[in-house]
Amino acid sequence: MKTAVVIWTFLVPLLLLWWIFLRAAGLRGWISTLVAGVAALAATFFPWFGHPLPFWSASLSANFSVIMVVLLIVAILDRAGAPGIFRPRDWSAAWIFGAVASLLLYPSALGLGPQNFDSYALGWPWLFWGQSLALFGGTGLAAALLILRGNHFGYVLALALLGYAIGFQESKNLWDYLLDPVYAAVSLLVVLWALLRRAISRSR
Amino acid sequence: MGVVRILLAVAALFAGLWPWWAAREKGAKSFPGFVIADTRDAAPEARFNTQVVNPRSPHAKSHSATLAELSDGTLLAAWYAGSGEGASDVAIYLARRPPGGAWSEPEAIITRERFMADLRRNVISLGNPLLLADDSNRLGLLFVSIAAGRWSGSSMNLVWSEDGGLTWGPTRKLTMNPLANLSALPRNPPAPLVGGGWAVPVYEEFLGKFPEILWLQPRGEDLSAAVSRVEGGVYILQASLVPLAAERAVSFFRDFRPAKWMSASWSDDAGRTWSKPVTTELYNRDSGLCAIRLSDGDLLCAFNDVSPGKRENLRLALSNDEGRTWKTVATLAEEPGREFSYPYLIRGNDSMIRMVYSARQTQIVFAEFSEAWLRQQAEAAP
Repeated sequence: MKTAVVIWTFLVPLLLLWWIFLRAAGLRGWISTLVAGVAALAATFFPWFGHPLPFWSASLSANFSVIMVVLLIVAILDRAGAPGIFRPRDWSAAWIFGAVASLLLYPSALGLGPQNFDSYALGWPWLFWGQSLALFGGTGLAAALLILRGNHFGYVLALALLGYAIGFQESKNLWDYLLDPVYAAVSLLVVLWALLRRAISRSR
Repeated sequence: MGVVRILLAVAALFAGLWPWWAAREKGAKSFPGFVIADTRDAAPEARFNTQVVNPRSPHAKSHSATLAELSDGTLLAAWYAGSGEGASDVAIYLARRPPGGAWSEPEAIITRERFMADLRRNVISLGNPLLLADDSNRLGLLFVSIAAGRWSGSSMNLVWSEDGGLTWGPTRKLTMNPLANLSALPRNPPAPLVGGGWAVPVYEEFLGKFPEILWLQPRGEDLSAAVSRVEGGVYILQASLVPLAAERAVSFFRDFRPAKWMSASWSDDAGRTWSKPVTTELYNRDSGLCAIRLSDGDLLCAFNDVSPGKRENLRLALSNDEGRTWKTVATLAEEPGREFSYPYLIRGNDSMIRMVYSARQTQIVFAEFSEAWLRQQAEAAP
């Protein structure tokens, strides 16, 4: 297995635990963040049922998206007190992108959308080259427009595209650099909740 | 708006377009067309022979066999075996038969322990091997590993042997699904592609149950893998892909609808798109089937016909109209209360037809017969 893939499978549970520890304990500031980081590192390497956590998390998925990893880093730095890496509108862009991408990808990929169309296939550029432009060009354009508008999520999208170009994940499909089930679920929940709140406030 | 921001925006757009453009430059056509086996004269004599590949198997379960022929005529059969479907002791076994020789003792080539050491992750069980052989002695093996639950929690893996299956390299995980890479299984023979590589009929059975094609193509140093959809939904799976010409092919499907007829779909653009599946007049009650093209262009299908129980017989049928109509010509196995399933057909370099199937999911049975024998059976059939 490629070294980059091994590192990636360790990075994801580490960052996820780190953020969960900070959030659960309500910690803020650099010292607390460092302490939570050490705790997360210990938990990541602890042999749970004989194996470290990445052994088990990689069993379920080795392809957590670049976007989710960067968002976790941003959230951890935010807790540490780093000044304004992501503003509310940057987070909004992240959740809207995740929700829209989820709806475009999962129903079709699971065979529940149009019968013989699979949007996941567009993530391998060599297979349906012409149609793949919609995904590759569309994501590049979205990143460029967000950057031009001063939205920091544009840089995260660009990093995901760069990650794909380097190809450090197990997957060779662009979708897996943009989206994973965890990021998709959180995005859909956040967007649904925001829509629900808006509908309730309008009805009052 | 600063110049730096504009430059970063242009760089982001470039980061999106570059891999897309580079994929075009790398060369090979996405759908290069199927290799059609030469149509030289079939073996003239009517010959039929059958053997059990694993007569002394200690396993309670041996199933889902695959078959391949090396360039020197050596036959290889692989299957999964263990104490039960989805059990932790299931391994992929391989037996070989040199030209004119007998089947060797089966040997475990992929075990759960070996897989976990290779990929540093947990696996519950293994299953569904599929051999990939070309003109060289290089041999590929696709198989599934189950990470959670049953078959719906499986994902596909690929290993290579450079010495005709004697030793095997490290396992490579193929990512074929965005939802934790769950649910992708091979079953039926691959179709070789012009310029190298294979179109491998595969299927998913997580939320949807549907057939797909795994495209394995030499692009750059490694073999690139990508998947295209044949049909979505929840009614057919386990396609048997039969090339009819370089650009034309037919796929037959295991159908689990109440109607109990085999479904078929055709492609006229080398597998890129497929017609809406239609039912044929060949019986199929949710059972694996396999079809190949004969030297005269007729199609041969091995399938489970009507029986009081499920899969109590295994028959052969011929079609001379690309699979629309069929005539049952021979019975390979039939016994009440027993099960004969998962046939896997190949046409050998000597034009003999070779086949493996499971008997009661404990024995792997090998059968070989000539086209002349098949025609003889067809003439005698009512």
